[in-house]
Amino acid sequence: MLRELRLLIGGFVFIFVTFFVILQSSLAEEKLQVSGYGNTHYMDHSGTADFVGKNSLNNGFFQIREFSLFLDFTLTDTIIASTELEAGDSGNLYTANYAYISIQATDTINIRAGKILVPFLSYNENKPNFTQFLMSQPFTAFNIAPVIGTPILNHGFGWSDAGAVVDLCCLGTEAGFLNLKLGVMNGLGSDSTVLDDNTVQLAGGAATPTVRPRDGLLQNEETTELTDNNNNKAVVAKLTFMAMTLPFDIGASWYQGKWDNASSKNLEMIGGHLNWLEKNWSLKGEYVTAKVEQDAGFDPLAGTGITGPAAINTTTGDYTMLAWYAEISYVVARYSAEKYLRLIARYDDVDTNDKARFTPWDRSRITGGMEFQVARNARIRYEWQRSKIDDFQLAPTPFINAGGKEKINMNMASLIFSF
Amino acid sequence: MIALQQRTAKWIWVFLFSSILLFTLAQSKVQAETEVYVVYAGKGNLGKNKLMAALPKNISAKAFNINFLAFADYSGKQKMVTRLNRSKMVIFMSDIPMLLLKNARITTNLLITQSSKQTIRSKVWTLHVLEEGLELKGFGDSVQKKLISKKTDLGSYEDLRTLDLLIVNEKTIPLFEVISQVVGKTIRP
Repeated sequence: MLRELRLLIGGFVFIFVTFFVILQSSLAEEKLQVSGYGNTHYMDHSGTADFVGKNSLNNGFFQIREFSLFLDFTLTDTIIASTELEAGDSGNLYTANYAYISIQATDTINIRAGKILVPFLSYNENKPNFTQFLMSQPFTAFNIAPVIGTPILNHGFGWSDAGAVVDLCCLGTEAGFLNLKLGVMNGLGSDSTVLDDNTVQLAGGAATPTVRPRDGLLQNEETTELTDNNNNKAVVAKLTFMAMTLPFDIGASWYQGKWDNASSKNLEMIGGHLNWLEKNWSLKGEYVTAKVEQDAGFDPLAGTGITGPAAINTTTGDYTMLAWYAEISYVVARYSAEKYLRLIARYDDVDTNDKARFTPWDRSRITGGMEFQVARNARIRYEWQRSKIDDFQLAPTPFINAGGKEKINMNMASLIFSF
Repeated sequence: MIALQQRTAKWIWVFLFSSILLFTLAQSKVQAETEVYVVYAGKGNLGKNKLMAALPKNISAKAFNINFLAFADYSGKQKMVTRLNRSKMVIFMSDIPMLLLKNARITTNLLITQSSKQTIRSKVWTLHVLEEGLELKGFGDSVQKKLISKKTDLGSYEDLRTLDLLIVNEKTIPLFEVISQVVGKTIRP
């Protein structure tokens, strides 16, 4: 562990020294572009259940969510080496969100190969907080597309995978333009017979049932982004239409791949997105479904002595999840070209399709936010959220004993910067 | 049988992507470096076509619709700026590129037309080329400017480099003709 830590630190020092030397050289200005962003926030929940071995989310805490550097180095006029280095989770988690070679083959064809951002829906390719109006992530990115980990099981931010993407841009008409991204990659997977096999134990007393930290898709630790657990490659496609004269784009995304070791169980996701981004107001939304093939009746905790409700989505076999969100914002005051005050409202809903047992992740959520841009590259945000768990009447006593409530409130103040 | 199919499918994918990659690399080698980038917004398509037609034929130029950044991921803007900075000159048409690329660090010659905004400046040389009669908000008294009524008013390359602003009398010479002359003098002085 110590050796791995040394290697990790050594690796990052090497990368930073290399880029620092390049940055200082006379060629740097021409060939290397560096930018980045970061954010820190104070977050306070009430009503979340406590888990064994985890700090309660009900205790307010400060966190450096992300601190990222984007590095683009031009090799030729048409080839760029590109990476995003991110220090997340208060600087305890270092990841390269993406690291690839980008080749502009023609004016209309771009190819990327390496660790790439998965072109699925809109949020994943626009996740930095300076491109969003809210700090918290929508359920489409949290519960279905695995863009964001949970606070208690975080593998970094952004859904990226090893593979290649061909980007065809842009077929034009009088009305607007079409963009098509086609990718092939290792794909999501699990070494278990259950796709969503991550679990945590409730801190609910003597009988401490296990629940999933999230009821959604997650890039499991065993199936890292840079290796594959099976012989099947996942494919992804995203088609987007952008209006010629309006700041409006709408698109559809599709993902398909086998997730189990034997390449016999299919995972398919289909979704759509919409962005209308005017200077003083915006409208955003995403809708996504995930169809998971899975054997019925299998409980990964059987024989462990731990009681339910662990078997979320495992007793029913194949299942389908669905999530959507809609978000509006309006600039209520503009003090100068750089300073403004924006109000934001968002509604999220996720249906985990878990009809057999209770899950705290089958819920809806309302978010209200306020964003004050204090300078060109700095913003202060405040968010209030209320989540409501569906079918709370089915909640087992240990869940309630662990502090779980039907309605969960969250307050968050954030400081965001980009450069 | 299943294993064979899976292995075959895998190699088909490998073959396809290797072919695309090799084809792309071969293509990229023969592509000439772009000398001028014309950055425009979707609404300015007509103006872009006229400008591209007016540019000197011996200069390699490409046009980029800045609205296409909506299709890119969050690093798209930076990648665009990286490419722009490899050229010898960048031309921004209208306010929209100035707004969408705000904070961009331009390290090559920059020509701005159809916009009096000064939110982006090049570290090398920034020149506004505007038609006469436009409101010149934000230009201070120290700005080096010149009224252009005919080609010879532009003067030499050295004279041109001392200027910040060209005001074009469109009754006597088209705006894009002046821009073409500036591009020619800058890239082939």
